[in-house]
Amino acid sequence: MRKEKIEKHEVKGKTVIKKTYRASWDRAVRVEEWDIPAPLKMEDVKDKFKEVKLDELA
Amino acid sequence: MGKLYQTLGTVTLVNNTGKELLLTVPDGKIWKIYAVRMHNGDDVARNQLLKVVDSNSNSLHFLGYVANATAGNTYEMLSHIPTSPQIRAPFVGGPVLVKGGNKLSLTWQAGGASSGGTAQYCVTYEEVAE
Repeated sequence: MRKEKIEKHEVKGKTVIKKTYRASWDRAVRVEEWDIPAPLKMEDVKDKFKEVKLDELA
Repeated sequence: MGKLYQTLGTVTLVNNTGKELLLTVPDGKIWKIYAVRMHNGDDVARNQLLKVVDSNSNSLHFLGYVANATAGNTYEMLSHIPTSPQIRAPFVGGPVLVKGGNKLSLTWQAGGASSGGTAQYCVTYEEVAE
């Protein structure tokens, strides 16, 4: 089972979710999944989150 | 010659919520991108976008865009004709290079109220040392 780090932040009344995990095909690859409710865009939310380093993920 | 990857993955699309998937190229490596397929697994049309961004999610290059990707359809995002990616379009003639630390970004933009769903993606790339 993959270990993922999930972060949530409220931005303009909407919940933005970011999941970070290592790729299943190469554990040296960091994968980020962002769920950004409309009408928010990445530019509106990215500063609320800090980048997760690979060594934080088992 | 580097190592060839042909990855197949899925993401969950949520009602009226955009999904951005970021794949970070490992430090000290270069990815040569040959093909990217994106599927709209939702029941509403969504715009689909493929680009290269830096470590702060600043856009570097726009590689492919499909306006109103039809629900349930799948698209090859890199095309021989840069302005017209199409369903089952031929693969791009040469690879796109992405530097270590930068990211390949696959975005399914929000398409309004929907049931959500599961979207497939596939990326074919060669990883070589920088």
